[in-house]
Amino acid sequence: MPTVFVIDDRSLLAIGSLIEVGKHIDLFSGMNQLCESGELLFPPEVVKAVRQRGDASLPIDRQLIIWIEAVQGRMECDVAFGHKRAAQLWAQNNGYEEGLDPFADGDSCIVAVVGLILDLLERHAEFVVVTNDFTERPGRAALGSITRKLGCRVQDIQAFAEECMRLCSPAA
Amino acid sequence: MCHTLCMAARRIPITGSVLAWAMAEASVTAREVADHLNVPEATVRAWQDERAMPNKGQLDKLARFLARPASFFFLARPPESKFPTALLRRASGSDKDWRAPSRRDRAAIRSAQNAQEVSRWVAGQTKRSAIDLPSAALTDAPDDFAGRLRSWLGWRTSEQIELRDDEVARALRAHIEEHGILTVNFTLADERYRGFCLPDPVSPLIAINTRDDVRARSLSYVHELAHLCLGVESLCTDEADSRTERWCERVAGCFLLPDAELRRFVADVLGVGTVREVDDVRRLADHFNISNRAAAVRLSQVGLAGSRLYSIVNAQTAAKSRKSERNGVVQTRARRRLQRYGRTYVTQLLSAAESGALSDLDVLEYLNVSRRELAEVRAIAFDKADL
Repeated sequence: MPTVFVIDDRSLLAIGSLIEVGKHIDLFSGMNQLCESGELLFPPEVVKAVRQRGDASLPIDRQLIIWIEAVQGRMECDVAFGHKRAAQLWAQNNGYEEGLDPFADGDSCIVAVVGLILDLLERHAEFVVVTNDFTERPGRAALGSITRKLGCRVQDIQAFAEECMRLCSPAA
Repeated sequence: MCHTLCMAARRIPITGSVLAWAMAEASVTAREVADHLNVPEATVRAWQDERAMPNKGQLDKLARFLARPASFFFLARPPESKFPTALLRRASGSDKDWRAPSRRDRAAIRSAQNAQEVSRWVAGQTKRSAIDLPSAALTDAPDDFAGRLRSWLGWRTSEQIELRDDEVARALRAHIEEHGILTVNFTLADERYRGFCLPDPVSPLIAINTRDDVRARSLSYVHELAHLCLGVESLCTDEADSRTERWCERVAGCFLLPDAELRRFVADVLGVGTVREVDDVRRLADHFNISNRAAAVRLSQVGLAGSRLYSIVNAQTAAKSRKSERNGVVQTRARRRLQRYGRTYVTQLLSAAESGALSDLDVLEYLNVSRRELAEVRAIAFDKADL
């Protein structure tokens, strides 16, 4: 059974700047393949956050927004309300008294992403969380710290991007 | 079609006690929530008791109304309240006509608290030291303390006179921000609230109600600054009815209209011993670029006002409040965010992002802007030009 990658809005918004512009086509093609095979997952809330924060006038964000809008229709990754509630319960029991996103001005996607992770854990799925977000700061929990506390595997964004690009290399 | 209907009817399992808590924190009743959502009051009570659940549209409306993210209602239990209790009660003295802050006012206070918490956290990461505010006591003579504040801020009355009246509050804000104090602007629901302040050693914060007349805001900035110097949080109305409020009001008045300059103007320019005419109050106010009301208060404080002068001026002023003008500058969302949060907070975030203490993505979230808007914020935040 292949390993599933779980990714959030922050990792997606950061990924383009870690890779040379010339290799972006390979990056998005690789991510596309992973989406097609069900090996890359993110809930619809992530799509909304990327659209909201991304800047379509920047080439890298434009590609990201086009890509994410293209794949979202094919991805069935709605997170059940029960898992979102479980995410907030876990948060309150693990030092995030006001939940995972108390400062969010509107909606944020961290609760849905952590809900997805709890769902995968429940189903004993093989998965890796793609994130470099380990700095705890006020207002939004750091996904990396959460995954560590949950005992999940974490992959650095750059390493994930390279793995995606390898999928498109002739040798792959 | 069927899918759309199913989605609309889908019920969302929120935590009733969390909803009840959020309503109490926002100071709203089940009736008010019901009216806003266009549902029976019994439905809201059923949500609180978990006998029923809202649908997606109702939850989204509820979240916006209570100024919380929708995911907040998935919490397992109500969090501990962080609301500063001093802001919910009259500081001391009279409780005449006191109304507790409304839902919108409380949301503004919470938003300011969040900004202060972020600023304090950034200070810890970047080793920013405490602000050396002049310390004050209620026993200090207001005119003396106002003089100390003017010299601490580098504020000159001559500069105040030269500015256009709608520039004074902005210039004052800039001086206050240069000293590292956070200044935020909110449109509070109740125009009786002029502003509030949240003391803190490294991230003291002043919030001003933009419903207030543009000239009156100068007085509010200094009034709240005086509160910070006393080290007490405040939520101030236009009625100074406690000793602390009266002292801060007096300091603010003396700051903008020092005793000596006031007496000189009345004697030499107006040529009267006691000011009785509203036109004279207006001339005084126009000269010093303060509100007519502030000028009338100052005249009363130094014993130069005729009887009922303040009441007459107050009645006329209340009828026409003038808002800030922006001289044709296009008010983009980025500019509005900068005006709301002030340069101190925004530049603290941007500098923290440059030093690696925060990421650009953190800044996007804290300011609730897109990457394009952040680029504009960055371009204008360090520029000294007027917003």
